Amino acid sequence: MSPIFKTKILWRIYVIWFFRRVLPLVSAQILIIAFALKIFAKKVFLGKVLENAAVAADSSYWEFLKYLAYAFFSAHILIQIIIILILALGTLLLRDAGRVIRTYINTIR
Amino acid sequence: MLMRILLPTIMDELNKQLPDEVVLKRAFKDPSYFNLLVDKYEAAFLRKALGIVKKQEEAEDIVQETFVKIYKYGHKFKKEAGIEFKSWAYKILMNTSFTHYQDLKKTAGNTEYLDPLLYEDKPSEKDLDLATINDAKAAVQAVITKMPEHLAKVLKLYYLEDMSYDSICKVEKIAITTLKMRLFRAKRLFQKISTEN
Repeated sequence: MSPIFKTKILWRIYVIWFFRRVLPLVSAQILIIAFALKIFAKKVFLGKVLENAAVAADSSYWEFLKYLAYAFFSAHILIQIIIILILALGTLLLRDAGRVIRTYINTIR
Repeated sequence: MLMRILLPTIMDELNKQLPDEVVLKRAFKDPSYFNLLVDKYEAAFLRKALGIVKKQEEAEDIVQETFVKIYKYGHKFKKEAGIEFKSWAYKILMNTSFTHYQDLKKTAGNTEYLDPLLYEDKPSEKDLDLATINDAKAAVQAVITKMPEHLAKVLKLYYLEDMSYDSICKVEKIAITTLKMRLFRAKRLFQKISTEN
């Protein structure tokens, strides 16, 4: 049987899977991240944080990490939750991106 | 290193032993499992489709469409007594083939692709599978009127109204084995009448 024929079938199956299982999930994750980033940008003056981080980074990596921890723990609880949410959803998004690539390779190999 | 080479082969072999419906279920989470179903059925499907439409490209389109439908509507398939995945898949293939054939007829006018032998096919051991029965609804409807009522009714319920074995058994108040026997006899009679016409 022609491998192109099989690939055509499997490509269509992959597209259905992507639209059914991945797209809704990824869209929801992106929406939540965008919403969280919006709140984050309203509450935190990111430019200033980065400026201070650059100053801290100049002394040593340890100082930089200490600054990040200090900035995080001294932030308002809502900001802490938002940062955690963004990091968690970002990780899930990366995992899903990996899954999409891995599944593509496994399906259409 | 050796494990890296051997493990996928072993896994492939193990996966090949899984029942089709389990493979389909796994394919919903990981579409690479669908490879197994394609490998298993593509040649047989293509042969069957080629028996209906006489062109390779048309047959390939039908088979492609069939696999897509199997995946799309797979969640509706529930294994019951007398209903195997294979029969369900063949039923989809036959329906798709005839729809495709009807479309071809519409676009190509009087072009005749349908193999007349299809209706004269004697049921072999392999073809006893009820789903492989010809599903051309219009032709069935014409022949069905010439059949005894009890046989015509089961044929109508199963092939024209797409009712399940269970539902027909409940409506007709008969056992599943009786239903299978009636369908078998009805199919034989159907073939006889359609070849006489």
